[in-house]
Amino acid sequence: MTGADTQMVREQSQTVSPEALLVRAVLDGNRDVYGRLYSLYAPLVHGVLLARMPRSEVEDMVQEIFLHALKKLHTLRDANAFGPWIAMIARNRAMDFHRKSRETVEVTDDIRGSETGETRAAEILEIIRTLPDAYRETLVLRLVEGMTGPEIATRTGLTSASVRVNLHRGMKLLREKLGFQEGL
Amino acid sequence: MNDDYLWDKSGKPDPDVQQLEQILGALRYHPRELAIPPHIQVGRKSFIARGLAIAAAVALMMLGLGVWMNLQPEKTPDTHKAAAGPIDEKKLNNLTASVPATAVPESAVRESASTTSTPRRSLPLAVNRTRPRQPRRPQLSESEVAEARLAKDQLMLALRLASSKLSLALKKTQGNSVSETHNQHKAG
Repeated sequence: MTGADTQMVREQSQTVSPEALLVRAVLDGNRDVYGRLYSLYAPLVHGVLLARMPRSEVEDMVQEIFLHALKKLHTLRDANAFGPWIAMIARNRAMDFHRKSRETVEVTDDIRGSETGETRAAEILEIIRTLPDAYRETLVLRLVEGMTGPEIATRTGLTSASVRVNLHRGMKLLREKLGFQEGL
Repeated sequence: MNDDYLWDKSGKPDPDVQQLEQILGALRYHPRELAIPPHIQVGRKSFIARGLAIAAAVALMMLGLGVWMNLQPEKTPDTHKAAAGPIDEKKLNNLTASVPATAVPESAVRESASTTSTPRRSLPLAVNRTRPRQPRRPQLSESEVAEARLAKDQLMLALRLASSKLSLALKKTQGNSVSETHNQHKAG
């Protein structure tokens, strides 16, 4: 890496994102600003949870995670990394949920009922959940939450190349699995 | 297959992806207001916790330093100086007070001072096993010590003279008794 490249990387790492400004404002005591962070990142958290948890639990969990993140916001070292940080909290919470519920009930969405669009969506979501972790989260963020690949990379902290590969391979696997499904 | 549409929704739309977007869009996040309870505090707690942590660390370091310093062995005190020094000075003072300075001739004093210029080491009267909290230090100045040594030498010389006088007197008395018996024999 040349000296110019090093300087460029340093400058990029030193640039402050709008999210970082919001984080600093919240830490300075402006709690109302946290609502803007919430509206920016709630779809990300929702998608991360939806790829791992039943829909009935996701809505409340999103709120719970944002409140938990607000309490622990002072532990966030890099204000630019709010997205990856809260995504990691969401993943950990989903794992905790499965650990606790494994002994009690089987966690599946109720996909029976009328043949509405939501039911078909739930069926496809169940198929996506059978894919490897990296693929299902990226696919949910792209197909359910409507985020683009670059947006997913920015919010989750993954590289664009990783997100592109995950989308491509995940979509390929999903097509194969949906090929067995009638009436898609 | 070109996946630009899958990547950033650009280029020619992929019908499969479009159909999936349409179906799965029903599960999309619906904005909800976040109700933040008033009791939640942000950031302030960290400063208190950080301050407490620093204070605790400093206190622990001070405690450790104190313990370490207490456990360090002190330098062994010079037993001759610590134990015998002050006691000898006191003895000397008492003894010199009892002996008049005029009893010793000046020439003898000078001779004695030249021969016994090095101070004699005396055995410690008692070895203090327990470590004193404050080490004993001589309270006399150098000139006082020199004066005391001179007085000690004078005393020793006076004692020696007295001893020689006593022995001479003893010899004289013993000699008289022997001559008296001889004389008695001669007389008898």
